[in-house]
Amino acid sequence: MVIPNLWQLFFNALGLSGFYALFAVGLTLVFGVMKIINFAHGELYMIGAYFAWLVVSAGSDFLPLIPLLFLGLVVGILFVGGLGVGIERAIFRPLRVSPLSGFMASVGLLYVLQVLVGQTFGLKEKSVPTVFPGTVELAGATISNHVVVTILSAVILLGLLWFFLERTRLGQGLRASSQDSGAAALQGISLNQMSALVMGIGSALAATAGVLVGTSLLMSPYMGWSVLWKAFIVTIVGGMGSISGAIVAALLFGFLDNLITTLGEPQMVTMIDVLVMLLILAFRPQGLLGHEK
Amino acid sequence: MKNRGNLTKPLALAVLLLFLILLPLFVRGYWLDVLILLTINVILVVSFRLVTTMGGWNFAHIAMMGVGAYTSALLTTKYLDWPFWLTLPLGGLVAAFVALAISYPCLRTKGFYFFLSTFAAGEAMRQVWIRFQFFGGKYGICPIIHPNPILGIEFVRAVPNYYLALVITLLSVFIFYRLDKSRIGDTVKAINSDEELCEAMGINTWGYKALVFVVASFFAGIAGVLLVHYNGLINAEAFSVAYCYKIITATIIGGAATFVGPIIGLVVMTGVTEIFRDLLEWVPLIYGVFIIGVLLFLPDGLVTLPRRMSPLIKKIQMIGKGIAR
Amino acid sequence: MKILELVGLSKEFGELVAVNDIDLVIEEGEIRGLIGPNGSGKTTLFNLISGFIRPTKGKVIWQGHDITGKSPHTITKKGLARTFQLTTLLKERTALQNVVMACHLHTEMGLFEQFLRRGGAPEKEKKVERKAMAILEAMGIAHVQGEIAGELPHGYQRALGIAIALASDPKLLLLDEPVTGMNPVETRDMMERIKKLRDSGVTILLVEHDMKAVMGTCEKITAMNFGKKIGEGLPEEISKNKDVIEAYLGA
Repeated sequence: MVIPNLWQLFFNALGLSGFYALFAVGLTLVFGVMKIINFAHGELYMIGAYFAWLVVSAGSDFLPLIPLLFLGLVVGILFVGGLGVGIERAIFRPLRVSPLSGFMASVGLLYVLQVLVGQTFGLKEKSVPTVFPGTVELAGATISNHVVVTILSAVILLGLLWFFLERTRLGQGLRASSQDSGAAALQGISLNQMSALVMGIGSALAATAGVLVGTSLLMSPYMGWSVLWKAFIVTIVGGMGSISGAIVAALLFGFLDNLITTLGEPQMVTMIDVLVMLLILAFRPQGLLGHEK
Repeated sequence: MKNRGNLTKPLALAVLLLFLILLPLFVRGYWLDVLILLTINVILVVSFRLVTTMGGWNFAHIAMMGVGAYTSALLTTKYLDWPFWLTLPLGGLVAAFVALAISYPCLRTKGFYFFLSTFAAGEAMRQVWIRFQFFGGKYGICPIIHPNPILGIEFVRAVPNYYLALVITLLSVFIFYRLDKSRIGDTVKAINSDEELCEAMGINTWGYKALVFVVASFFAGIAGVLLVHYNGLINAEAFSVAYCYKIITATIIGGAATFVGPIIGLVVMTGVTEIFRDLLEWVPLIYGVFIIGVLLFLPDGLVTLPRRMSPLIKKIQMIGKGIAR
Repeated sequence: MKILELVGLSKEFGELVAVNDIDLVIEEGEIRGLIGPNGSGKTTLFNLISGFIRPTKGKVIWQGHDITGKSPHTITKKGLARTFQLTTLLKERTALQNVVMACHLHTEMGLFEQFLRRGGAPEKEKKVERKAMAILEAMGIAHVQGEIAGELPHGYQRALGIAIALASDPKLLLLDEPVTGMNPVETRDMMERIKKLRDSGVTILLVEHDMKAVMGTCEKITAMNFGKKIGEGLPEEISKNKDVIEAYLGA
């Protein structure tokens, strides 16, 4: 067995954690304010990935890879973020009274988006040239630039999110809404606005994950679905609605999954993840950083 | 007029029954297959609906179907030689036991967490069936014997299987209907309305919820046994999340508030799936559009359609009368 | 005879001590009042006694038996019933249907009989209905038996809440703010009915903010503040108790 370089493990695990974090934070953010689980979250991630692929394919004659990818990222974030806001307005807002309906509608949406993308772009898997080519030497380990960009993006975006939530009026309104939407409403914070905002941000984060990571994997209309369960495990273990919880859990599972894969048992990942989740829930049903009901 | 009211319901039921009994005369081949599967799904849908009356959206329902199916498959084909007629109720019983076991963690949760915990339990079971060769692993078990001949009737061809499924389905529907209208059903709905209050009334809410969960799972198990012995094979893939979603969709689209709603929803969704058979890839989209449409515009399900339509129908009638004059 | 005894009962919610080492004895046949400003722990105490929450420390002893931590439905079965502060009813059902459901423990029906369609055990169902009507009569709301519970005026809803609790044939009734929100006429009427209940053999422990009602009905009063007992005695004594007066003025 090849003894893995610990730093290699570390950075790759960090990259995986960053990916999980971007994906899961979006999901938990939406739950925190809107109290629904958006099953179509994976599809937003998928659409983000397809966007990047589109931009790269279409613009490869005009621009070099790296600026093209940033373009894809920006356009993808804007488009998917907008899509998220539209979904909130058209589907989740009217169904706000019944979380079950919202959930069922989101699954319906999942199917709709999957089929639309699948029929438009074909069901077969596609691959995009590895996002950021090349590697870098860090602490004696060879890390692909792609992983570095993922880590940096996750840190920057989540840092921006933290700043937004802690230091801006709008962000604080969002936190208030997620703790007690009724009380927040009494203070003039519109739940409608907050819901639209949070869907926009959450979708944008999912799209980022899609652009950054989705493109390095094989893309298919079903890629969102396969990552969605990871997101659920991460958010539940972290505590539904808790962003810091999601980040902590993302780190936990990022390192755990990477370790399992490196040890040569990738197919055991899901099973072990579920076991870990059940174990943690048995002692802390509200998740690591969740609130007691 | 009043006497007519008392007769129409039993009369309609008798006509329906006759229709169902005579169907195989007109329906053959592929369509008979669709019909048999539809019949089995009715068991799933009425048992699923019972659990919703206590407020639970049970994502382990299809897994319970699998438990019954695997029990029977293992006992009749893989390891032993037991007759189908023994493993049929046995499959249901094993499913009921498993449901009782998972009721301890799952019934403590409510709402979304109940859906999650039942989902996790169901998925775990599915993974066990896929991973362990004891259950046939990824490829399942095939072939599985058809139900043993009884009273001279063989179950190799479709028609006898249809009648078998029909009999069991009618029995199930009857039982669930009575359950729904009984004091038990009433108590369960009260628990859903205000569980704390019911506890204060002296009602053992946990007991009732567990009862409902276990009974529903028993019948899901039976449906599972029927399915695999009809199909002649078992595969863990068959008891997928998509299947569960289909049952839930049928329930919501038809309307979970009434007993007959989910059945109607099932018939409609099956019809829609068959109509779009040639555009198979578009079917999930149609499902999605359907359910979003119903949720947004007909939130209590298709059963409310006549009620919603009646002002419109009255208007049309009045216009018609005006024209006729 | 001691019917209910609380020994060192405490409940902590993390840092917050909602109920702090309460000792209490209720004698059979009493009408006991429990008073205290908002947040003094009265409702938590009710929840502890009736099994809706588990105490951190201490015991609840019912007729000599330890019932600490037992489930609410078991406690109701043993003869200890309660009402709720907010109007807790089966809102979409009629008043009669509410009480009929509440007669659950006394339908004399086994599980199978409960499975039979209504009408499957017609005698027993009718018996239950008669009993339910009698309880509604005792609470003065028999005339609205067919009305939807959620649409009843506030006073009738509170009366229905008590009717529901009575359906389990309790020996001790915990009443959580039975007359809050009622006008003086309704209040007087309700307190009279509560006295009649006691005369028919039901011990009463009630929480109320309406001092006139409490002083006029209860024979003994226990006062709480910040989760602790701050006074106990006859109404005249309590009304002169310095700590009690301060608690209410300070609140």
